[in-house]
Amino acid sequence: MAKQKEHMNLAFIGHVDHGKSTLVGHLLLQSGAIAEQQLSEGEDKFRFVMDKLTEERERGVTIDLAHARFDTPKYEFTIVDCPGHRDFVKNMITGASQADAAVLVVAIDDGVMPQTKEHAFLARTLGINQLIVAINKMDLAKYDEEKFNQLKDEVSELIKTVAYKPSEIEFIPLSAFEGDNITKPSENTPWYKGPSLVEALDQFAAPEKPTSLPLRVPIQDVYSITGVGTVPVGRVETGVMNKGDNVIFEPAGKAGEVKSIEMHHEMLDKAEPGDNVGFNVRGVGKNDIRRGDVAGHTDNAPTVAKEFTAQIVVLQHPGVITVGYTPVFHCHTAQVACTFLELQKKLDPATGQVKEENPDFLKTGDAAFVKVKPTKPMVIENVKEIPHMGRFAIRDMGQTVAAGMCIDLVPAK
Amino acid sequence: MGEVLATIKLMPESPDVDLNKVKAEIENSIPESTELHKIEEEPVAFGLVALIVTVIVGDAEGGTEEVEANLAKLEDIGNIEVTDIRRLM
Repeated sequence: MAKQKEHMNLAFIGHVDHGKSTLVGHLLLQSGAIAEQQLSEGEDKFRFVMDKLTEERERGVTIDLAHARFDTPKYEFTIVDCPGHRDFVKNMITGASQADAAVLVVAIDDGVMPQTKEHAFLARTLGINQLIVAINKMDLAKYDEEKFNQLKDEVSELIKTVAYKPSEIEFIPLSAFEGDNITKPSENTPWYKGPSLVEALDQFAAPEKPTSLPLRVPIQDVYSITGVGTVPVGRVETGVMNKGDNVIFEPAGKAGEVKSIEMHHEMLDKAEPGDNVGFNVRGVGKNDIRRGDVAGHTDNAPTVAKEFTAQIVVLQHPGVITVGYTPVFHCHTAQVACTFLELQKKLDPATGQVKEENPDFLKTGDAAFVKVKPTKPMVIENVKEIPHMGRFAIRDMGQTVAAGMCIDLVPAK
Repeated sequence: MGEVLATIKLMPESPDVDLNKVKAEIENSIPESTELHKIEEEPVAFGLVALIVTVIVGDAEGGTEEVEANLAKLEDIGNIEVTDIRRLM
């Protein structure tokens, strides 16, 4: 019997005008998600696809296309076309849907744009370790190898700043509009010896559930249910929770025993990463714990940070960020105001090199290392240890002003 | 500019909340700039049922702010969370 294909969530990221949607449309077309036989041969093939999508949109079918799936020989992919506007960053960081890999789209005629930079940083912040760089619109550059190499170097420098290794990443010259190098090598780029996009997607490593990491369940809400008792509800981010386990909620510091676990109203013996569960805990009252607390095993409790060091990128700020600034950090289900204690280093986004030690301020577009102190106890983890629990969005004045990840911390106890 | 499909999970205050009443309130609290796509029930645990609301908003300034703020104000709702966000084609 044929083994069932592994599933992967694939994010398309990059600047809004760089052809992400066109590329997604063409992938669906060429992989058969949109039937090829419905198309006539010739120059208007792509137009047909877009028209077809528009037509389906009117019939309400595009909602399903927002969850478009396509198959490569090895994987079944679900495509996530990421929103372009910064105001969605908060949702991308705290939301449940986690991309396993990403395609960063950069147009050859436009080059690296601020959004390219932001999205590369976000991909890293979101814990996406596998990346492909699609150098799009090659037709507009007459499939010029030299121009491709120039942009490849530029993007390499950029992604190095967020610890991607360009030598391990495929850079693919393609044209989403013409269909070059999407499923098979294009005659228009005889100088390119690498894989097509679909071939490169098949080279990704299968995602693994983070079951071997320590248990972390950020609490979304706490209920007191008649006949049951205290029931915290949340999504298991990492580790495994078994019935009978002793768990502790931090920063509340309350511990108890897991008496039962339910998901979709069914009893479970254990809960794994990605499971949205309610669990009954004996020894903990409804008012002892709250949203934003994190459950973990008592012998490997969630880390409460006294202060932490973070790598951040400033997405939009009307003024400047200086020491003393205290916006709200959204980290897992917690929202805690944190004060900037030190601006340690400002990075040159183009090279990742330190541009300035101890800068006086940060402004929109800056990437930096900073030290911050939560104004009340909060759980956050070093991304190197538990990536899922170390990322955050910084909100102020109704906007997402920055995003970042915790790279070092001082525990509160 | 494009449109974004947002999935928002609403947790009730208790298992005893009248979900039909909440659904009607959700329909009335959708801002003008937002299109309600559907509301589904998702059983959680111990009788608790979440409401999964999918809406379409512009890929533009404000994002899901307004609809989130309106839904969070609903009487019988404990908390809300945007669980998925993706552009429509």
